[in-house]
Amino acid sequence: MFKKIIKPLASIKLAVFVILLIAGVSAVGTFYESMVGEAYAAQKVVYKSVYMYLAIFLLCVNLIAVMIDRWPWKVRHTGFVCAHIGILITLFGAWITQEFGVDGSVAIEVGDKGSMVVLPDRQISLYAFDENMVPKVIGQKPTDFIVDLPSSDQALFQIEGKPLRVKQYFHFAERDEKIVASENKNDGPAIRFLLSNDNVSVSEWMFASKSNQQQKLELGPATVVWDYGEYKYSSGNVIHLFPKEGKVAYRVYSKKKKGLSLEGLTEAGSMVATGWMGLELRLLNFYPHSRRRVTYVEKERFSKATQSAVQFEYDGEEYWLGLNSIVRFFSKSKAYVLSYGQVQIPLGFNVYLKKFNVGRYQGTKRASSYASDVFVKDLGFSTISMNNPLKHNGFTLYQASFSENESGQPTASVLSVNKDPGRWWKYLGCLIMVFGICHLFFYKKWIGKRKKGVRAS
Amino acid sequence: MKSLLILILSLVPCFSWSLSSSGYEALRLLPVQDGGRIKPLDTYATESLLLIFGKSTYENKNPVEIFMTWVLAPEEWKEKKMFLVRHNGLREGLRLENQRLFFSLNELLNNDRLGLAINSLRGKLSKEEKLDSYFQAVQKLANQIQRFHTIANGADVRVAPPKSGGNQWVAIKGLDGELLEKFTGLVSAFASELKLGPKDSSSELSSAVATYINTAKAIRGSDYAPFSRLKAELHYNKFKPFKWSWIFYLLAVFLVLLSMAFSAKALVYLSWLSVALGFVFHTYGIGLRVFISNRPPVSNMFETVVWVPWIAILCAAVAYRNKLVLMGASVVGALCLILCHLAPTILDASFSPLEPVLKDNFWLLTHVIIIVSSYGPYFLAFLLGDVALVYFLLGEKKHKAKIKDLTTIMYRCIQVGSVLLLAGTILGGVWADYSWGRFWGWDPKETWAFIAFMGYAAVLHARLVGWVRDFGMAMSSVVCFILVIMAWYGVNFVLGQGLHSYGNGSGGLNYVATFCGIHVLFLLYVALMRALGKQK
Repeated sequence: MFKKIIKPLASIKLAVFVILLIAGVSAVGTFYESMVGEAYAAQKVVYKSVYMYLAIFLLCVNLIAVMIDRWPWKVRHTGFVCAHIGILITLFGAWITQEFGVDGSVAIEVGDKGSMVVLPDRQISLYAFDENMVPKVIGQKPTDFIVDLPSSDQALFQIEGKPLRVKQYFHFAERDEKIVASENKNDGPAIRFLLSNDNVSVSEWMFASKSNQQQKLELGPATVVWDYGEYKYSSGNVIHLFPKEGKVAYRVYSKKKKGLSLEGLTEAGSMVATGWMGLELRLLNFYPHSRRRVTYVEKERFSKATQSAVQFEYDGEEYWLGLNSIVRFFSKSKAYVLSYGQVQIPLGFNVYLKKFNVGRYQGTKRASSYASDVFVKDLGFSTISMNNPLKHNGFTLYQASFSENESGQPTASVLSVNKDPGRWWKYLGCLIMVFGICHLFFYKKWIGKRKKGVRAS
Repeated sequence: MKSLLILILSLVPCFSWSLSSSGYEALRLLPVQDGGRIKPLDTYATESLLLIFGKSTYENKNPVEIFMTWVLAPEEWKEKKMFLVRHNGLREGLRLENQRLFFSLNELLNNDRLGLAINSLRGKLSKEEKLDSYFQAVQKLANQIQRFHTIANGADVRVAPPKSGGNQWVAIKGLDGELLEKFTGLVSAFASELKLGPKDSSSELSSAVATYINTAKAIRGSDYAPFSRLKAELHYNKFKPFKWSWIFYLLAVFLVLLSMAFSAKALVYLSWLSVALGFVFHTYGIGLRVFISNRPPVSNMFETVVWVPWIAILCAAVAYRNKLVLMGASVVGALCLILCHLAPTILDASFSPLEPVLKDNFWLLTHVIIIVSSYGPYFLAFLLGDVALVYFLLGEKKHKAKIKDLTTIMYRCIQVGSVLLLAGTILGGVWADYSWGRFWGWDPKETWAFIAFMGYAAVLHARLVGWVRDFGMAMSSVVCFILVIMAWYGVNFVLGQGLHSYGNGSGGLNYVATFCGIHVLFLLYVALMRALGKQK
């Protein structure tokens, strides 16, 4: 009876099917990754999908069944048993790693310290301020939006009886910040101007608000000031702009005259000659009340400018949140902060980055080697470099990459942080598997021949 | 300096010159710093000409001469149609004449659309977006123009070691003092030889080059450049061992075919000899590259394409049964090396420096060499599969013995390849674990190595239940090799994603796809003919 159940599960035909299935799913994964340009998405959508787990489950069943089927094992089964047990042990090791391992990273600025490991998993946290204005976590949810987008009629959190919902999620989105007119009388005024002559042309937004009453823009030969009208001239070429009677007032101060040279009122679309270097000032937009509006535009694939972004809705208001950012919002009585970011776990110790060294190939900017000089309490000074990790507190820190500024000075080191309890299982499994396969393929040819030779003699 | 030289050159009847051989040889060896290493001028000039013109000679002139005239009289070159624009879409996009492949610098610089294209390329690069083939072509054209400019104004041709400190060499433009004087002497010796032709065997040019090198030695010490490596590299450039190698492999293929036609034993011995000679040159070439670059033999795409046939021939020698194996291996050898010869712009043969992560690492070395080695027996099995399929077409019964022999060898090859591929992939995991703390991360390169392995594993299992017999073996060694091509070429040149991206390149997709497509059609045809034959 038992054999009857085992037989079909142990069939080699099933094995061929499972092998091709796993290969096929993996191939889809590589094409998907190439299409979207991001490994994380491919992991979520393909490699760690239900289909893959199902295929691997089938493989395990098949492997176990075929070994039971061949029971009791004989010496000639050595290769077969080893190859298959090796695969099972390797898969077991992979499972241990997946369940109990840590695979994250920590980026440390030169001269600074790092103590938190950033994991690829993401979560949404909601904080409320208590009476001492200290934020406290009142809700936290892991998110897996790329495969499991919460429907917009389902509340993520309930705040004071009203639901906070996810309206939209873009996995690849570019941030787009606009200044728009506002109805709210408390919002500050904004203008956009174009300053140009035959050689230069500069177009900028300027924005004043209750908390930031004056904005100054240094444009080389001249400074532009936008405020509510309080600016007092001291020196240089200055264009002072401020809202007045629903229009924009301008005052041009010149360096030569050491004082006011021009003043008047203008409006969107009109032009003022400043009198210096043929520069003309054209007012492009003017909003007496305005606010910044951040939106995200969905993209098809990953680039350096994209990030994942979530749009939330609470009490009729909508908020966009890019990955690893926060937004503050208010109910009638209280202030809240919502964060969307990668999960962080503590290292349990501080890593101080004292220095970051980059070696370059002669005469080029190409890095030939790089290393982090770090200090860890208990360990003292040490160097983490390629193929030379640092082990402490169960974690292993590897030199992964670094960032540099425009002049080629390294600014931060990126260390990959890892804890892998499944490692030795995987190594053991692989060893047994390779031994088994070699035994299967070459036993007859090498050992078998020798035995024949012995018999013949 | 320049005005003087232009004056000299204006006396030269343009482009009808000849240099003394000793002067030319001396000039070829001149050390130049480029791409993170010191290379002989010969290599630098050849790479520049290949980049700009796509071929290693221009109107039968060698690259060093072309290079020197670029330095001397760039004005003369601005109207020459030598910038290769191969991409059809780019020629259309720039409204260039679509019947031509080559364009002059002036034509390109006067093209308004090119500036716009380069601007949007910059935008894409700053966002690190993936470039499509159009923008890859824009990038290449921008590089071509930039290379010409840096040579023409001497701003980035680094010919002299720094007097003190730092490792960045001084460009022609920045030379001063004695070095400038000697370099000017070198250039005017070149110009006067061009003008007057070589006077006698004791060349003025060769002594001018020697004087210049001695001056540099006096400033920075005699080991300012690795001269033994430079000499080896120049020898490698001149001797072209891989060219000799494929000539002999090709000869062996013909000899085997002849031996089949005339069934002469002597011809088989001759073909053996020919393969052996080819293999000697092949080995010599690999050895030279290791010496020149001072690193393991399998570090870029070009080197893998050279390494795989070397292993395939080794496998064939071990598994030798009949002359068909010999022929199969020779075809692999000739095919790969001719490919390297014909597509120098796609399979970049230069000794460019390695990424930091690839340096000085035992596990890296081991896993790459083992994996690439596995392609050797797989490639051999693929070709023998082709040969076996031809025999199936010619008559299954008549050639039964040969087919059986071939199947046995294919089976062996697949076994050896699978063990190597699996072991290499696992060692790759060990290396990744050792360098990044991650054994397996579904990186496209490792995933495709895994997929290829699974393909062969499926074949080996299917053979146990009788799904794959002699015919199936021939079919599947061909089909599975398409997976290997994907892992080998496709991941870097088609997918272009992942941690192994330092091997990325572009081009050749049409040829590779056609190659695979023809094989698939061939398989279908043979399968159809066989099915029809059985019905009768």
